[in-house]
Amino acid sequence: MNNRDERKANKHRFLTAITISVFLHVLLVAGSIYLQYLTGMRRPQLKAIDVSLVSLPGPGSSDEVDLSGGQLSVPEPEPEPEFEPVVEEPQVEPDTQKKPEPVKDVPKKVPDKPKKVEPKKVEPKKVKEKPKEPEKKVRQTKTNDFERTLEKLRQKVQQGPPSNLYKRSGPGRFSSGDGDYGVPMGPYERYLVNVVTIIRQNWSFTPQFIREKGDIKAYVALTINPTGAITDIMLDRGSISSYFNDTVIKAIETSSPLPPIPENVSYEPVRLGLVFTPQGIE
Amino acid sequence: MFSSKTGFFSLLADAGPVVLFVLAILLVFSILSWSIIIMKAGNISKAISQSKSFLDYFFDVSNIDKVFGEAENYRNGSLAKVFRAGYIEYRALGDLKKNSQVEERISRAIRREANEETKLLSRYVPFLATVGNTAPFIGLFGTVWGIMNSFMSIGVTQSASLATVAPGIAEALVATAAGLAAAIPAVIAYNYFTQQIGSIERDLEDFSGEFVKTFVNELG
Repeated sequence: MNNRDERKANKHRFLTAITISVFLHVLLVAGSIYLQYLTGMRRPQLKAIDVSLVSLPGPGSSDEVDLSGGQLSVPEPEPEPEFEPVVEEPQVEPDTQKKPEPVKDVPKKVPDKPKKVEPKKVEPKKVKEKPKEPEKKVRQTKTNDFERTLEKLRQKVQQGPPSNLYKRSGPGRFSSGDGDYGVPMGPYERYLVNVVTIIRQNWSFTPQFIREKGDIKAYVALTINPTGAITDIMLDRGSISSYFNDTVIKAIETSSPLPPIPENVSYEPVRLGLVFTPQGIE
Repeated sequence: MFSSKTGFFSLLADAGPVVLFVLAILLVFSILSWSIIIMKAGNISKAISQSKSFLDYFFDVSNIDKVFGEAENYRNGSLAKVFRAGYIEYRALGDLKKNSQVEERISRAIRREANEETKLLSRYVPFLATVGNTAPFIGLFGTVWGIMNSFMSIGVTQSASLATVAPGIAEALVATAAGLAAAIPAVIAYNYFTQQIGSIERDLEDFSGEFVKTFVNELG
């Protein structure tokens, strides 16, 4: 009887131990999931930094910055040079002290507001009496302007291609190597089709490896030298999938050198913009 | 839910069926080994502490009937159990107490109980050794399988970029990590319990003779 009781007690203990063990494992898993969730919550700060694709080339933006820096130099365009010429300072200063320098930096905004400021000649006095106010305003306007520019850029990015490089008047999409039927192709277009065909042949990627959902498009700008060498490869706007972007860049890199540019096309390097989608090159 | 792509569970979500199966086995192993650890930790610590208390009482009191009465309070003590077995055998002898084989019968009963107690204490403990030995290899199997798939994907994509290779290897290494997580506590616990059970066994061997002498002296 004693042995039976002991066995029963042992079974009971073992079941209790299993219950405790399962509970501990569940607790451990839940804790680690929660930790991962917390770390995931902290990361959006990095996302905000990613948004600073601010220096992406747009139709109205500064093209000089685009040419000099690639995608990696994106965080460089600090807001300082853009926001230093605050709108309010030039309103006051041109009336009292003629300083044309800040006005040159912001040629678009100045002509709108001086008209409103002209009748009010009292404002310069306020500025002189309270020198601290402009600083506060500058900070506020800096943040406001920063947000505005960000929104504008986002809208531009959403609207369409990052620059005119990607707008085509010719046959358009490079859906076939021979061009569209019935449309006569010039030497330039023929050369483009040839280039795109070569790049496509060197481009290998599997759609299954793209985990990200959404619109996957990569805008890549490149320069073709007269010898056919590809230089200045720039990912104007990458897709969500870094894998997709990598394959695109690699395809272009391996395609170099391309056939030399025909003389009847151009004697100078050709700057070209290509749009890569999982369906092909546009 | 798994917003961070580098987390453990986001890797799990992308793992293949073989890796998931391996992880499930390792989870079961881990749960069982922790159950054994919890149960044995309680059993062995009770056995040791109650044995010590019983021994103190045994050496303080010379009357074996009183000692037997007190032994009922130490139901988990190994030495108390062995003493009880000897005492029951001693009482069962009845009229045969003058027989020359009395000592042998009592010592046999004590040895049997000591053996039983040792078996009871060391039950399930070898499973810890099994987990400690096999879990890393099971995890390694999952890892090897995952890396094989990863290399196959390299072949499919024809690019050995870090973006292609790294996720697969990271997923695969989760299995090894899980195997080690299951094995390390099991090995530590196995070594500890083996050492504790060994000391209890030595106590049982040492004091079994002492108990037999006590019963024989009581006869004389």
